[in-house]
Formats: sequence, C-alpha cells, structure tokens
Amino acid sequence: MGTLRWLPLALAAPALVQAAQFATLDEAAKRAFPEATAWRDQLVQASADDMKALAALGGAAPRTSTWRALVALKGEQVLGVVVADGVVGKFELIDYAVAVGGDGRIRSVEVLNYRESHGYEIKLPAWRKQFVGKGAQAPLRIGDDIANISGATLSCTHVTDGVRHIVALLERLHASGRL
Amino acid sequence: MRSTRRAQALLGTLVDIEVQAPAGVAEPALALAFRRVAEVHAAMSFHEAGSDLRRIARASAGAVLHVAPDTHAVLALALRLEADSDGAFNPCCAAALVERGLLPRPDDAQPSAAASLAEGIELLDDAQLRLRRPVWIDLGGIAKGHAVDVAVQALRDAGVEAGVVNAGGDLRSFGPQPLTVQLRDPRQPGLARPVAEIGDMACATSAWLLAQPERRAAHLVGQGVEDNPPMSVTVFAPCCAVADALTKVVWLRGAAAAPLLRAWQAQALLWREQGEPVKLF
Repeated sequence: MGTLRWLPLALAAPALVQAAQFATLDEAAKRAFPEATAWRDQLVQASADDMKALAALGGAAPRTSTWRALVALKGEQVLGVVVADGVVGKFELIDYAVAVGGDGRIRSVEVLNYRESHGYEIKLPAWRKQFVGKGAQAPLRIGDDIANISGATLSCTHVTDGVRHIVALLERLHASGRL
Repeated sequence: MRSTRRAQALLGTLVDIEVQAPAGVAEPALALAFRRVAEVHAAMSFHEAGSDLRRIARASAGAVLHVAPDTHAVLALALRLEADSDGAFNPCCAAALVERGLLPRPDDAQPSAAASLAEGIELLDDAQLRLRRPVWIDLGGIAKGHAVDVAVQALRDAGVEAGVVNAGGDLRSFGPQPLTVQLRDPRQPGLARPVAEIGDMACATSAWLLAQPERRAAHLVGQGVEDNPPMSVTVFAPCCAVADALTKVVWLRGAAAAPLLRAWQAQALLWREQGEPVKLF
C-alpha cells in the first residue's frame, strides 16, 4: 500500500529550468543497434531539393540541413543509421537521436538532452545566461529532476515533426545512392 | 544502488524513466518498459488510423471487435469511472475534441452516436467488445496514466525494485525511496512548489496556465459547477490511470468529488483562479 504525506505549502521555489542529460549519441546508437560491430561517423546532408521535399511534409521546418550521424556496421553490412537532431519547441529544447534500420523503419527515438522553459523565459537574457559556458563537462544541474514535477505541459510535436523529416531524408538519400 | 535514467518521446510527451538497479537489470528493464509504453500509445491513439480506437470508430453497431488487452483493460476501468462519476469522466468526448480541432477528424469513421461509453460498447471476454452504437472514444484522459502503470509493471517484472516513471507530469513512484512531488504553480509557471511526499503512489495533473489563457482547459469537455474555475488539479492515487482520470472529475465537480476520491483511495489538490490551493480527500 502506498503512502502520501502532504507537505506544508511552502513558498514556491523557482523551477525556471528543468534540465536533464539522459544519454550521448554513442550510447543511444549502441542501444538501437546492439549487434553492430563498427561505427562510421558521418554527416548527413540535405540538398536544396531535399529541404524543399521536407518542407512539403509539413510541421516545423528543420533548423539545419546538416546532421551528425552514426552508421551502424556489422562487417561490411550497413545495419542502419542513427541521426542526432535538436528541436526548439514553444516550451522546450530537446536533443534526440533517431535510429533507422536498413529497412527504413524507426528502431528508436531516444531523448539525449532536455531543457524546459515556458517560452517567454527563453527570451529573457537571465534565462539564457545560465547556459553560457555550460558544456558536456559542466552539465546543467539546475532543477535537475523533471522526474518529480507534475503539471508540466510538454508537447513533443516538434520531435515528431523532426523524426518524420529525418526518416524522409534518409529515404531520399538511400534512393539516390547518397548514403 | 546505481541510478539509470532514460527518456523517449512517446504519448505526445516526454516519457522519463529513472530506475535504481544494477546495470544488468536496468538496461533490459528500461527497454521493456519503453516498448510497453509504445504499445499502449499505438493501441490507444485517436490520431493513428490503425489504432484500436479508430477501428472502433469505423465499426458499425453490432460488430464484435478484438482489441489489445491494454485497450480492453483501460475501457473496463473507464466504464467503471464513468458510472461512478455520473458521467463526469467521459471518454466519449472525441467528437467534441474534433470540433475544437484538438483531434484529427477521422474521415473513415461512422458519425459518433453514443453519448457515453456504456451506450457505445459492451465488453466481452478475451479482449473483445461489441459495439452497441457507433462511438468515437478518446482515452486521452486515462491512457497516459495507464501507460505509466504498465511501465511500472514492466520494470517490476524485469526485477527493478525502485524507480519513477513520469509521462509529462503523470507519474508513479515505486520502491522504498520516498519521492517529493513538486507542482508547477499555474499562476507563475516558472515556479514549482513541493506539495507531497509519496511512496508507491501515482500522481497526475490537469492544468491550464495563466500565461496561456487561450488554452484554458480546452481539453476538458463538460459543464463545470464552479464560478471560480480550477486552474490546476492534481490527484494522488494508487495507480496512475485512476489518478489521471480523476483529475477530470475533480475539475468538473470540485468538492463534490470528495466521496468518489475516497472510494478510489485518492486525494486531490485543487488550485482555483482565486484563493489558496485546497486539498480534497
């Protein structure tokens, strides 16, 4: 049987940023293709025509035409590709990795990094300043736990759009022998 | 014990799972839990034409359909909650949500003719159901909670003894470690308040934020009884599907929902537009 203990309603504490680092691209790639024996680090590039085709799919426009990718190999055989992408939503900044098998099907969509805001905060210099100088060696530790926040209104629409665009791009690259 | 945390974009939100377990246990457990959440998503999304809910929406009166065991279990719980709440919990609101543009119009479906779930379907054994009338079912008010529950079950089955599953604020903790739940202040969404400490307990919130008045509970269908409307309703319950569903009942019924909360071993925190948060139990 569970327990519930109400806490005295204290003054609200700032939770300006909910941030978390979940995984690196390498880790996500290894989980998506555990059978891979080697990896090829590669940039995935969309031509102007590709970008037009992606825009025609609708959703938020891609922020870039070049993505970092890891190609999963088993001997000579290409098992699939894991592409790193980032999206900026109204409320969140999300880096994620989408793994696509040789059959063109999605193996996984894993979130790598996540920062949440409420839109207007992103525009505030003080909010942005806290990211200055923070790199992989100094991961964000501010309000490090979205694991215990309720009442969050987070939508992953932009991730869904991004995944759709990347899957379509990989198809085009395959079809034209560019990948 | 080692803590491992992973997130995937599922259920239209970020599903964040943290477990305390040795790596050899954590990895396969997390993989299983996310797979189960994805299954729930696929079966109970009104957006996806191949989902159980869309198959039901296409079916004619009298048809017998086989659905995923998850869908069957959620429909069974939804029928009970609908009856217990005198219809305040209403999973037949898909047509209204389509009108508001919150759900896609299913062009392949029969027009919905059932005003309640009980009018629309009859559950049969072996994950089957019979359609009484054409019905558009939206389980958006309960399926996310159910997905959290199945993720917890999957983690436990895989040998994990403690952890937290959080699907965009619908969360559940299990294991010996107490979890402090913080709640976003609907009036100042940049702030969060610690409200309760839970162990082996679920929690769900339905809210609109002052900063986005246009979104004012657009996802809730039904006539509320209050002049001073809620801004945020949080329900604590033993399982997350129940917590998720009861947030809608408390939203519409206010303090009158207290007996129902007790019947489901649940407690609630209600923040209205004016005044301090009120506890209901």
